[in-house]
Amino acid sequence: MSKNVALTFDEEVLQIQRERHERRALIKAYPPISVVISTARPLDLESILKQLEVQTLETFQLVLGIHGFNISLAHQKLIKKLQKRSVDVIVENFDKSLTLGQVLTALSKASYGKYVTKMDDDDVYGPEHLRDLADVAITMKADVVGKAMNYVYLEDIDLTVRRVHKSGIASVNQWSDWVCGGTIMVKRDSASAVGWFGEGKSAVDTYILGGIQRNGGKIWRMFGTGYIYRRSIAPQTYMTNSSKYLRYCNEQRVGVWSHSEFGVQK
Amino acid sequence: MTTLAWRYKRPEILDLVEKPTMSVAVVIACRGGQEKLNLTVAALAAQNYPQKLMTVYIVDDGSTPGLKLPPVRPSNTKLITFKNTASQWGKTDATNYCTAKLKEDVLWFLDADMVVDPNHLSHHMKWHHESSDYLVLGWKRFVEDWNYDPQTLFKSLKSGKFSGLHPVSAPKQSWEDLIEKSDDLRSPTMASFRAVVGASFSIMRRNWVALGGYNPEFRIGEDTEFGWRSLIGGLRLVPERQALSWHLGISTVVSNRQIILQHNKPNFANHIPDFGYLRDELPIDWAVPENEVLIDARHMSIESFENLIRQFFVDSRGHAVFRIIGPWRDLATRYSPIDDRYLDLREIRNIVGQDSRFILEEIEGDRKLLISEILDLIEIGSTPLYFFVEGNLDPKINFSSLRHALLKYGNGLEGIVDRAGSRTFGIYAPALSRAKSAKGSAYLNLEKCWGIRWREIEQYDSVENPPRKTIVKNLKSAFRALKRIRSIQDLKKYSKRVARGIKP
Repeated sequence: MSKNVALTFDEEVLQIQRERHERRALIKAYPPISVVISTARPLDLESILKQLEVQTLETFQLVLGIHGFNISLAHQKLIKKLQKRSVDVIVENFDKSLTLGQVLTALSKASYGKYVTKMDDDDVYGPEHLRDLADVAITMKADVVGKAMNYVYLEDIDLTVRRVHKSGIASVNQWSDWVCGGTIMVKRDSASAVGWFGEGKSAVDTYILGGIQRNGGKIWRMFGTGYIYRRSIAPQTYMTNSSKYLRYCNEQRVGVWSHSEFGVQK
Repeated sequence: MTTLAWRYKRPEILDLVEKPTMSVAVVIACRGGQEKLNLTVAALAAQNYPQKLMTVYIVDDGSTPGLKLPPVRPSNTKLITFKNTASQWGKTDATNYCTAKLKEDVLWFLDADMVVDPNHLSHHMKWHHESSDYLVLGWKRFVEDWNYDPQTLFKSLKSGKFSGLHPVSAPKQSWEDLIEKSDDLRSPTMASFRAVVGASFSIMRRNWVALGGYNPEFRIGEDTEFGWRSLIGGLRLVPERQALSWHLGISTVVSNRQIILQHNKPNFANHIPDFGYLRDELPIDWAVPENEVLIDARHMSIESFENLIRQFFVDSRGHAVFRIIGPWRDLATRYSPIDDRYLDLREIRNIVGQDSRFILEEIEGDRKLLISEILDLIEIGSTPLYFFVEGNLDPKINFSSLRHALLKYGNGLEGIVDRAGSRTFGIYAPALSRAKSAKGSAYLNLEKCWGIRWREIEQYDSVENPPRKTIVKNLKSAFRALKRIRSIQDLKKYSKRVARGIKP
C-alpha cells in the first residue's frame, strides 16, 4: 500500500460531494449531451443500459452501436424505460467487419450533443457519472474531461482496488494528456476537427486524445470516483495483469466496490 | 449462524436476558457417581433460568447399579439409559446418542460432579440470545470436600449462599492462565481450543450438529478435540466469569496425569494439528493434515510442482494433503511421448498418483477458476490452513511465510498475484468456516468477518522471505535440473524457464 495518500475513501467522497454541490450551483442549464456506446456483448449491454437509467443527468442522447448481434426483448424494454425518462435513444447496427474506431466515429457523427461522451459497456458507472463529467467540462472550459484511473475491478481475484496518488494516471484534478477511455467527454467541435475516434481496430482513445492535444486542446483529468475500470479474465488465456493494478493500491474491497457513488450497494 | 461478527469481537458487557425465549437441553452423561449427581441436579433445580425452557437429560452410561432420578430435580428431568455394547460405551458415545434425539435450541453439557450457581445457566444463555455463534464456557473452582445433601444445597442456593458454600477452593491455574493470556479469548490463537473443557459448556444445537458432535475416536479428551473443531469452525469461545460453579473433587486428569497423557497422545496427535510437538516425534501420516493444498496444475511445470510440494515436505509444520486439479481423463487417450501436450501434467500424475496424500481431481476445459469457485472447492474439516496455487510458482513465494502472514496479520485470506497473473493464496480455516456459515458470497463474508489482503509479488514482505534452508533447497534443485541437460532442446527449455524467472 502506498503511503502517498492524502485522503481515505470516505474523506474523498465527502470532498467530492462538497465540490459537486459548489460546481452545480454555478450551472443554470446543461447543453445537449450525447453518449456513444459500441457493444458486442449482449449481457454487458443490459448492464450498461441499467446504469444509464439511473443517471442523475436529467436528459441526454444515447447513440448505441450494436456490433454483430441482435438486441433482445430485454434490451428493448430497457431502452423503452430510458426513453420514458427523457433519454433520446438511437440504435444503429454495424457489421462485424467494421473496426471499433469506425463504429465509434460513425456513432459520434450521428449524435447531436455539444458534448459527446464515450462509455464502455463492461465498466461500472455511478449514477452521478454523466452529470459530474458535464459539470467539470462546463466549469473548466476543457476540450476533454475524463476520469483518473482510481478504481479497477480485477475479475480474476474478484476485487476492486483503489489507487490514489500524486502522480501518474491515478492522480486527479490536473491538465493532462490522458484520461480513462471509458470516461472521455469531448467538445463536439474539438473532436470533429481531429476525426473523432479514427478508423482503427484499437487505440481509439489515444487517437482522439492525441489529436486534440496536437490541435492545442486541453484535457482535464478529474477524480475517478464513480467509475470503475474493469479488467476481465480474457477468454482463452491464463495471463492477467492484475499484479500491475495491485501495485500501489491504497485500499481493496471484495467484488465491485460497494458504495452509492458507484451505484452498487450490497 | 445469523450474524457475522468481526473476528472474535463481542460485547464487553452483556446483561442477563429479562424474558428469555430459547430452550435448553442440559446433558449430563454419567457412569456411577449417584451421590455427586444428586447434588449437581439439585443445583439445576435452583437455576433462575425459566424451568419451562429447560430439560435435563441424565444419560446413564452403563452404571452398575443403574442411576436413579435424583431426589431434588427440575420438573423436566429425564433419565436415559445408554445401553453399552462392546464398541459403544463411554461419555462420547453416550453424549452423541442422547443429543441425536434432542430438539432444544441450545445444548448445555455439564459434568455430574458440578454444583452451579443459580445464575450459571442464565449467564450462558445471555450469549446465545445475543448471537448464534458462541460456545460458552462456565467458570469453575475445585473443592476437596463438601458437607451438604441435595435438600440443604437446594435451600442454600435458593437463599443466595452459593459463594459461601466453600470458603476454600482452588482454580485450575493453567486453564485460567490460558484465558488470561488471550484476553478472555477475545484474542485467541490456534492453541486456544484447549480452553474448551466439558465440565460446563453450551453451544447452539445446530452448531453442535454441524460440527458433528463428539469425535467417536475419543474415549476421553473428547472435549479438547471438540474445542479444536469449534475453533476451526469459526465459533467465538466465551469464558463466562459470572457463570460460577464448584467442581466437587479434583479432576481425574489431574490425579492421573501421566497415564491420561499417554492415553490421549496418539489421538491428539492424529486429530489436532496444533499438537505439533506430539507430531514432531514421528513422521506419521497423521489423520488430520495441518495443511490442505489445492493445486490447479493445468499450467504448472513439473519443476514448479516439485518445488511446491518440497516446500511442505521440508517444513516441520508442512504435513499436508494435496488436491491436484487437472484434465486427468484426457491423459488416458493415445499420445506420443515425443509430442505430448500433457508432458508435465503426466509426469506430475505419474510421480504422485500412487501416494495417498495426493488426490487427483478432474476439471474440464481451460477456463481460469473464479475465486468463488475455488472457495466452493474448499471444504473445511479439522485442517486449519488451506492453500491454493496455480501456474508456475514464483520462487519468491514460500508457504511458511504465507502461513506466517495469515497468523501474524489475522486476515482470513492472504493472496499474492505474480507477474504472470497466477494466484497463490492461503486461507485461515476459522474465517472461511464462519464466512460459509452465513448467507451470501463466502468471499464477501470472508472480507466482512475476518478481512482479506491481496498483494502483488513485489510487495511480498521481505521479513516473510523464504527461510534460508528453502533457498538452499531451491538452489540444489536448480543445480539438479542443470545436470539433467542432455540436448540443445533441454538447454533451451532450461534457459527459457530461467528467463521467465521461475525455478529451473
